[in-house]
Amino acid sequence: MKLRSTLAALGSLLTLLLAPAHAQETGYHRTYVIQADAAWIDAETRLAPAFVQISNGKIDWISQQDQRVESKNMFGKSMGKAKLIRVHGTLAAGMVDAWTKFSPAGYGADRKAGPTREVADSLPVQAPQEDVVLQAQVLAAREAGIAAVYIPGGMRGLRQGVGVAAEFTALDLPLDSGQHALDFAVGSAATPGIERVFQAEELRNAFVEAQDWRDSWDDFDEAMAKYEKDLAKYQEKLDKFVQEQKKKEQEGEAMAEDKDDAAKKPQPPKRPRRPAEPQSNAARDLLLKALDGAMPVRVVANRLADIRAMMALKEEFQLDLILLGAYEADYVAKDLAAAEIPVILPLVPDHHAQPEPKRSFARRYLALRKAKVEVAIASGGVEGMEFMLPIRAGEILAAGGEEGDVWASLTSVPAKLLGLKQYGALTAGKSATMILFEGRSPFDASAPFKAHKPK
Amino acid sequence: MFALSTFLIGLLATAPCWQQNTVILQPDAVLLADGTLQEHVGVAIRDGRILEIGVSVQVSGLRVPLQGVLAPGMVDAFSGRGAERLLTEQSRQLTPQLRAADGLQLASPVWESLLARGVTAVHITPDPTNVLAGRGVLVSAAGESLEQRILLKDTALVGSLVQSAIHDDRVGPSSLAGGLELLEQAFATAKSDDFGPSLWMYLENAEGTRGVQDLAATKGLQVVPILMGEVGSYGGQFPQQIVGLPTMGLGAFARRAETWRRLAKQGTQVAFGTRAGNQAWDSLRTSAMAWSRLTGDAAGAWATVTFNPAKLLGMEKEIGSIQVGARADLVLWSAHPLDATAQVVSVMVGGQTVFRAPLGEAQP
Repeated sequence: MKLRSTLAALGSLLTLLLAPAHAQETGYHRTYVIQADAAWIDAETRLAPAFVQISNGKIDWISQQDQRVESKNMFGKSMGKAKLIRVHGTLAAGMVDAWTKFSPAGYGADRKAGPTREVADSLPVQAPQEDVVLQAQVLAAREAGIAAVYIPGGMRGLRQGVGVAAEFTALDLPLDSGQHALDFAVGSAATPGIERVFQAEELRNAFVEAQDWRDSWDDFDEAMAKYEKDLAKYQEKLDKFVQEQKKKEQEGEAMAEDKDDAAKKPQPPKRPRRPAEPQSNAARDLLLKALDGAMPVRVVANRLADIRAMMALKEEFQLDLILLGAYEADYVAKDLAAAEIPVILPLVPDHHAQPEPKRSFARRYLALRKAKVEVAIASGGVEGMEFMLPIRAGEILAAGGEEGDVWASLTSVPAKLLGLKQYGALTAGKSATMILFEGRSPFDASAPFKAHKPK
Repeated sequence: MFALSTFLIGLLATAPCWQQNTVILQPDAVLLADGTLQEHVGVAIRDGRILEIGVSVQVSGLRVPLQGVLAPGMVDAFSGRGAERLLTEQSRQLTPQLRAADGLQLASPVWESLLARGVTAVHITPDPTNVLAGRGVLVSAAGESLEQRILLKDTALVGSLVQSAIHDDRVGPSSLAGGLELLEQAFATAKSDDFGPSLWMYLENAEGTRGVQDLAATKGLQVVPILMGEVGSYGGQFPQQIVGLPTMGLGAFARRAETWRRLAKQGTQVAFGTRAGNQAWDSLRTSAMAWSRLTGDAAGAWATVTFNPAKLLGMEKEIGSIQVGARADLVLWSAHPLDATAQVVSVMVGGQTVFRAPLGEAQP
């Protein structure tokens, strides 16, 4: 009996060690089932009651029925059914905050490295107490029901560095798990208090320069081809020259009297010069990635002129562009929709925008959605603002918005924009970082609201 | 149903003969004084006051079925809204005789927008730019005459020790100690009834708070602190007490949320006001919803914008809750007012319908 239980324990230990890579990375490794009154599968689909089986931090299945089956360990011993946890309320996917102010320790200390700095390189290793400030930021976001975030480059000025989409691990630390993106800010968003209208132009010039540099490789290739031809000719001439010289040496003495006349001595052919390769630099390499569509470009732009300039930029260079801030974007909502530029709307408008009642957050959101612009709602880089996300979003409903639409703006849309495929809905394979609310919706602050952290 | 109830409320307002009689409002639910939501409760109203509340109301009268949640109108605990832009006297630092009532702008369009958001009473204080700034006034957001509008002519004496606000190179003070010294002078020369029962002080740190509390104790005055500062300053200073807090602003947001959590943990109760030191961002209701999410106490959160401000003003029997004898300052919401998706359907002040949401058009 004792041997069997030891073997069983060993079995489960092995199961843990053989857990999928994702579980090892995130530190979630338990299997259990939650039974709730209901669940919001995605923006449109509802389920009641709801059973969700979770293992390794991911959803195995979600159903109206209890689909638990007995599991066996690797020695064939029955492990029984997964543990069932009954909760009161409705489960929904954790929200995705596509614009935070998280900052790993030490990141940004070297300000000179701004434009090429990558947040992903500064994320702490997964160890307890590794970065307590960042942990506190993650905990605050978790408590507010956030499951994944985008950590922006966060440098000041036009070029703000390279941000990273991240999920949270069992240690409450971010884990690089989505796309990296190039962060820019133009206009007053780049330098608060100062309207620098030429920044949009400056950004365009940077892309033009990158494009020109790339084109200069074509010139280089041409020059190389010419060089190779010239080199072959040179070789021919050289061979001929050497042979002539040998012939003359054999005739030797006959030529002796001319020995002093150096000027008349035949010269060897001139070797052609190898053309210089275009020089690369890290900042430009990043822009080239964006030009290739390998990296999205996120630009904070609030004023109409800046927004228009960014639309032109996208068209000129075929960029994968996401507009942030976008305080005056509703004026060009139709154009943005036609250009397929998604918008990340912050809860708090640009610090220098005068909040007018007619341009309230809800109204600007509704105007963009009416034109079918893809909109994600984010805390907007204001620390601690995450818990206001569902409240502000609810105010959009009070102003006439659609529930599914607004919920998508907090979950599936930002997940898609960040390339976080495992977030934004409650379906098999997605993350089990969820929320549980007891009111009519997650927007109802009169009822309890909790976040579920996978085990 | 929605249209019918709006129509009926409209009818009440346009038929003066019924105002003298009893009207029994029968909403889907009533938000009672203890913060609980009760279904199938009727609220009888006569002469602008609440006559009876109950499942089976005894008095007879016109029964008006309403779709939505009936809640008390919100009370702004300290505000500059609805008054002249500057309610201050800059030539000296002690202006206890300055009265906010003298700077009222009752015809301002602000009142209409307050009603549309479910705010029915506002405590307007002088600007907190003087150590002793003057006296506040409690104003009803609607009413036909001046008598109906002014609920309390002179509320408490209001002062400030917020350095950035009171600092003045010409008349001083230039430090917290100087501010406290000025306050002490005022106390020394004042007659006993100059101050009234309580002193509302805008405060930003623990030192200033302690100083004022010590001074007030010598005169037997109660200090109502309005906390303009940040986290940690107030640790343990206000257990089981009601304090004023500015509505959520933009400055140092993360720490502000933490301040709120700590206050709630101590059992401190809060009354929200919109005279914020930083960029005031939004309404009383948004702050109440935020308080609910941060503390998990919905009943306490709703009290921050209704019962608590009324209690601080000594008006808890009149405004801020649905109870027998109180003014019929009522707001019909489409859902629980702390549900962010709820809209104001109609507003009644002193038993009269003064605002109705336009049909089919949501408020921003």
